[in-house]
Amino acid sequence: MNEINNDREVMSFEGDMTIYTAESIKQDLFSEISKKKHIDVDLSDVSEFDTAGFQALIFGKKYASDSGIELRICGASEAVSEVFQLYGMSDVLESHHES
Amino acid sequence: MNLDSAQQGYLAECNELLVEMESALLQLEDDPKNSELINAVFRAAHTIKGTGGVFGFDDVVEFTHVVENALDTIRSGDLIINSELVAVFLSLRDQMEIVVEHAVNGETLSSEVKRQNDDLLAALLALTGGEVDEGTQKDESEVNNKDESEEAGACTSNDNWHLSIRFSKDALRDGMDPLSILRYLAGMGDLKQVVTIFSEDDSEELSPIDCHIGLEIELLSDEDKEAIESAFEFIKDDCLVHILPPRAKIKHYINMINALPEEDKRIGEILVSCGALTKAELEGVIDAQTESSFTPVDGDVKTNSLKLGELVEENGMVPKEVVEAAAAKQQRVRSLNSSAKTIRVDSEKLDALVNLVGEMVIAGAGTDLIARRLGDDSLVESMSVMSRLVEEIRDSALRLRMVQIGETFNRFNRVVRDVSSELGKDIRLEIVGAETELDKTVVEKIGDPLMHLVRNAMDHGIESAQDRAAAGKAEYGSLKLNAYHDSGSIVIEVEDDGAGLRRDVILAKAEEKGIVSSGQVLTDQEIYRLIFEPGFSTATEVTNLSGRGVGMDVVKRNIEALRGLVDIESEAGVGTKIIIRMPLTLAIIDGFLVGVGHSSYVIPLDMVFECVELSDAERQQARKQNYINLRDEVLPLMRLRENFNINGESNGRENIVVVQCGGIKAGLIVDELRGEFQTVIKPLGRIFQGLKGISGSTILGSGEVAVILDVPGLVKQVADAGGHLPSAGGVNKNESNIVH
Repeated sequence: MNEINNDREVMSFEGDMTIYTAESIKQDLFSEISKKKHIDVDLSDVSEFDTAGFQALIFGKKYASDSGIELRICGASEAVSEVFQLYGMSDVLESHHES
Repeated sequence: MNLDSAQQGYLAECNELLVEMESALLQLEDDPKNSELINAVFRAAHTIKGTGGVFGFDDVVEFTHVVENALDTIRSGDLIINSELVAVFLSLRDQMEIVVEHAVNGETLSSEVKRQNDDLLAALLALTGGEVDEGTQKDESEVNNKDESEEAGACTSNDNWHLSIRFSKDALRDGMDPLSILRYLAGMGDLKQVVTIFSEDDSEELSPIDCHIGLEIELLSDEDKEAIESAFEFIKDDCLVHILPPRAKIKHYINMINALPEEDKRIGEILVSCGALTKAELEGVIDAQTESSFTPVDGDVKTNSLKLGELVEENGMVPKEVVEAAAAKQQRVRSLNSSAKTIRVDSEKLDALVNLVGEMVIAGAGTDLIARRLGDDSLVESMSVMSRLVEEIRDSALRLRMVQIGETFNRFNRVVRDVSSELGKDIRLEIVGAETELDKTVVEKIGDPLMHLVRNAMDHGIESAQDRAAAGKAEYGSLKLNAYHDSGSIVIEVEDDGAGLRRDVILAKAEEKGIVSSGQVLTDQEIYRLIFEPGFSTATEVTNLSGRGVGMDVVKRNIEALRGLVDIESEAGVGTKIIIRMPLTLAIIDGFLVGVGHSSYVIPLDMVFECVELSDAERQQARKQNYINLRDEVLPLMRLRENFNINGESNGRENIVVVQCGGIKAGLIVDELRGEFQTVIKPLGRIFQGLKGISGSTILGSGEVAVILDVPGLVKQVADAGGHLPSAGGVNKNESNIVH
């Protein structure tokens, strides 16, 4: 159990994920990705979400899968869901329900 | 009042854009696929329309809109530009100028202008044909019928609008979030399918605040094309937007695929996955491309045909078109960046700055003088640092006013093109030294004289093709505009390879007109210069362009008003070269200060060749002859003391300042050499305007006024007088009295 806990990290973001914060969010994500095997990103408390935030997340996801790490999105606020739906990428959010 | 100045700003901006448009169009004639140029033309039209709309200039918007749409078809690759189209766009450009001017002046268009508008637009539509289907009065179904009659006009089965968008990198920073566009589109109909395309670059390198997103959208909507286009109104300029109507032609998809930056195969798959094309249709696209049977109006499209079929076979290779599109895109971004790096400043502000710097130079000289008098070493030292800085500031302030002459030269591309077709001659323009810089005010004033000279050279200088062939010359005539810097002046040459000036005809005509008396012996140079005399024209026939006998003398007067000189060289059968020599700037000069008696004079330093002490023996000789032998060369002399009628004798020593201008040297005899001196030219008042030999005045550090010598004028005076100068004091007595 312990091992799994050390390996699995839940990152929660809250508040704004917008053009003003996207750069630092990307940094946080990338530095976390290099440390862990599995990362769950919780976006349930994100109040504002724009394309910059969306891109930061997508880049992180791509970087993770390129380095053989699993990054899942567990939980998304309404703002987040709307953006993913508009971009035709709702399936990315739904994937965590399966596991 | 405020609005008025804004409208004037619009007019100025339009003129600038129209100039850019013209030069881009002319270049497009030789390089029809250069997307940067096409974009430049499009941007110009788009900005003129957009800003015109802000002011409510409906005529401008209406006219430009059609032009813009035609340009958009070209931009999206549906139509290839050719020289016929360039000619139409050039006339449209001219018409835009007229329409904009009318609008700014608050005039309604006359029926004449309206008729011209309609004629030109009809000519445009005739060339672009059904390609200009958007926004014109033609309704969609009519266009569709037309398209159907073409081969390769197969339709897709897709009932949705297909929208393809590639955002610019700066979109997010510019406040254009793709989400707002998606939300807007969602309000217009049903977003059936959205496929988001991400950059395939290394995600570590990408910044989330740059926009790396592309969208392929299937939209089910009853709105018309214009309504859907309006969603992209604000991003249209910087982003790649394709709007394909339901059941669009296969060939439209091909053109779109062609224009998108991604690998064609990837796009093909995306189009299938979002339901825009079926698998079978995609194969149809591939087939159509290999056959390249979709060739539109112009036959010159072969090179443009996309090898998507090949691409699918040679999987993995980056197609050439993609590389080209990417390169073009980068270039476009770069050109946008560079335009953002310039700022527009009111020229009055610049003048005020240059004026202030001038005052500072004078004040600095004064302070320097006081520092030296006090003899405080540290003060003198810090003053010299100050002087150096002031000098640098002066230089950069002046450089602000300097512009390259290229823009002025490039205007002549159009002139040469139009005039040569009017005359039925094939004339090519060569431009050398376009990067040569000179003062903006000089540039503005040189345009008209140059125009006269260029037209004259084309009309009279260059012979007809038959005559040229008979003389064994190349069939096309060459006209060369050349600019370069030469000892503090800018030299502009207009050179043609025509028949040259006919010495005897000019002489006969001059005698007939009584400009010279018969039997007068003149050198070739002097005869050629006769063409600058008022009312002189050797053309037996007056043409539309020149030959009315006004022109050359006006040219000369205009150039002389700018302290410039005109000269002419010609050789029968080889050509004629007109040389204009102008000062670089009208504001500040590096001067050489000399003293005669108690007065100070400033000679522009660029023109000072050397200084020689006048020995006693030479003094005696100079008194008699007005010239001396300087290292086996005849040096004509002018005694400033006599020229400006200064009383008294020099206290023993005299010096010669050898000045050079336009290849002629002359010696000015002065009492004292006082050294280099930076100075601001203060124009002389109106009553002094007729004075010869003086170009301005300046204030010395001591508060004394010094006169700036007009060296070209003086040298000319000396040269004209030749060896037999009459008593200089007598000749200039009247003028001298005014000076003192």
